[in-house]
Amino acid sequence: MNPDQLLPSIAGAVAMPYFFSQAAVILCLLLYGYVIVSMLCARWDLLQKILLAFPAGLGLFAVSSYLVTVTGIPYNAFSAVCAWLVLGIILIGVSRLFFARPAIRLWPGGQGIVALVLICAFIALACSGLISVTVSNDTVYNYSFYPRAIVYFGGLRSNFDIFLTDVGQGCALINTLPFLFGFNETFGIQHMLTFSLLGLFCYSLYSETKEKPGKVRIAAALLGTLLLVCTMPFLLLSKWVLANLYFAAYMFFGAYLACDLSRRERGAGIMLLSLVIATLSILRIEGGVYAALLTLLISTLEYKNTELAFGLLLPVFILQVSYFVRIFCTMVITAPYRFMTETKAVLLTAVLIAELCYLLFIRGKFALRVQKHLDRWIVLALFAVNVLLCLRDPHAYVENCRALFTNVLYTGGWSIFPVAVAVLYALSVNRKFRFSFWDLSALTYLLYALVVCFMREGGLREGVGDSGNRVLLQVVPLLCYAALSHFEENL
Amino acid sequence: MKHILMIVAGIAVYFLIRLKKAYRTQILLTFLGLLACVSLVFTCVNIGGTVTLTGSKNQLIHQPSFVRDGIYPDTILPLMVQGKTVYTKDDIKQYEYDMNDPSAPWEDRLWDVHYGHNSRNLLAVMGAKTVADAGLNDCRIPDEMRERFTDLGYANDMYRFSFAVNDIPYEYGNFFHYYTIYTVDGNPVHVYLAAKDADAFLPGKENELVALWQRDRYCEDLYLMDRETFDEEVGR
Repeated sequence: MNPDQLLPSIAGAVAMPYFFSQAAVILCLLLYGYVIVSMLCARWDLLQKILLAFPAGLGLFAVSSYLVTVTGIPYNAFSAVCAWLVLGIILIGVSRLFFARPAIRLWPGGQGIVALVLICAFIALACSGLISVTVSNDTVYNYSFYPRAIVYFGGLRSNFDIFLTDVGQGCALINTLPFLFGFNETFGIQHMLTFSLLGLFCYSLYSETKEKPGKVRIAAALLGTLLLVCTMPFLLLSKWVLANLYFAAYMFFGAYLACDLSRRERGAGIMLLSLVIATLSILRIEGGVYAALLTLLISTLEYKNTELAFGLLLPVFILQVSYFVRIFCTMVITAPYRFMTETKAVLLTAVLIAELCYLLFIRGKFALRVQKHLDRWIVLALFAVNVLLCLRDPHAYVENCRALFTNVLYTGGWSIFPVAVAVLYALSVNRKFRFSFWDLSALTYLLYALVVCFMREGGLREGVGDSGNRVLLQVVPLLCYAALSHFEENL
Repeated sequence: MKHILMIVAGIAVYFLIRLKKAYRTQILLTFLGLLACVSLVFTCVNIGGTVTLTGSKNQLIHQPSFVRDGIYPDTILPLMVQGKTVYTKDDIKQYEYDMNDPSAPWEDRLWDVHYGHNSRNLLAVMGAKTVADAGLNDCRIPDEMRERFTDLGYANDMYRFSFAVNDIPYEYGNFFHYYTIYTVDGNPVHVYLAAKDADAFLPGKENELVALWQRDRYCEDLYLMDRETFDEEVGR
């Protein structure tokens, strides 16, 4: 038996049905996501709704599946689809109950047909296999074998051990889609999310330069997006079949929505932001920490306390705490090494409660002078945490920093990106330069990444595949956008 | 060097927009375009040496390079066994060990627990209908027959993560493979295939397969064959 003949014959037997299954799943996620976005943000541009449709549908699936597995409901295709539909209906119901009810037009007429054709073309491209990928050990086990086991056992079990404490459950659940609906990999889903990210990146750059002539706006948006697509760290991120692209994409969607909603009448749009941040919090095991940080960053913008506390942070709190209760109180985990431990879980819960208290009882009421410059205090606080970690174990911290700089400059697959960003910033510095929300998000993420890397056993290592380096790569879309937004202000 | 060139280019653009203020927008947009092109060139030159990129036209997580490199047989095995009835040995022994007890004889006896229990569970999770058959317990694949099996690749990692699908308390799979296979013996476990019927492993067929685990050298490999091959050459 020759494997060179056997394997192509196996692939030949399944390639076409798998292609259509994956494409159909993507289309369903996108269409339901479009319905959700249209109901929550009725007055938005059609293009904006379409670009956010797939992330919304996928995020809704991740969160609803997470709730199914955490509550112990048997996890299968039927329960996953029901939970997905019900959570969407709850979102729409709450939005109709508590917010204004603008007239909703789901079918955008002739434009809709063009949009649908283009969407199908992009889905076909995403699933075609024409775009190359990188499959590593973590892809095969954390995001293929583990999701297969979740589907086989119909949920979480104690014996999953290290998978429960080290793998982003949201991403693992997205990767159960092949085993629920009859295909084999999620490359198409990942590429489709990359397309949504790039589309929104371009749309946002275009929207930011309203005062420029039309041709300049288009050229600037397209060239800016081209720069992102051509940079090596972004390509590495988008091709690696792991949780990093998902996390980077939802970080960008979160920052984009936070900025966009702060400048317009939000209405039920806050619920879309809530969904994005809730998704972000479950995509990686340390996602809850970043969701808390992002909510704090958003509190520097014009948002009401109740929106921040109940709309953004409370869902994150519920998702995180319910998971910690599920794995630490109802299961016995015996993994020899764990990233998420009981101590870290308690610490994160305490941080989330403290932030909830701050948003409900302190923000806008006490210490207003301090709060006026909250962005600076956040950066300072993160510096302080880094200094504390350095004092606790100077050798490990210095080693981490050394590995970080070696990765960024030589071995981590960053190519010319760091210097290109520095040059873009340098060319943008003038009297009009203002430290923006995007700058704040990118800078705080870098400081946060150092803290997260320190929290794991063993610290950062040199090399592109090191998980610390991959965590850093997640900042690329945010950082690139922050630099480009200043650069394009000066055109 | 590339970083210095970028900085020099940035300085040149800075002075150029000072000298030609009327063309500021054009200069900056051109610079942005050039930056994208230079990034693309560096990416094209370096990305292949940084990570392994593969096409995915097969719609499978199994990549063509896995066959060449002899890795991750567990990415293609599910397609071969899904929906099929797979007969396995019925020789699983149950031991209760405390992993914290240094005197526990786990190093010696875990072989039986590990391969028997985990191989069968892995096949079940992959979608096979497994049937434990005590009649296969004493079956051994003859030496001359072994050479005719096709090697599907290195399966240490597959067994390493098998703790997730067994019912043994403690993460035995991980522990066992790190300390026994990776560091003590350092020997690879492999998955082997053989079939008289060329289509025996094709997806969609509901035929019968036989799975045997056999300790040939230092560790137990997994041998998967169709019923016909087993009846004619192994179970005679």
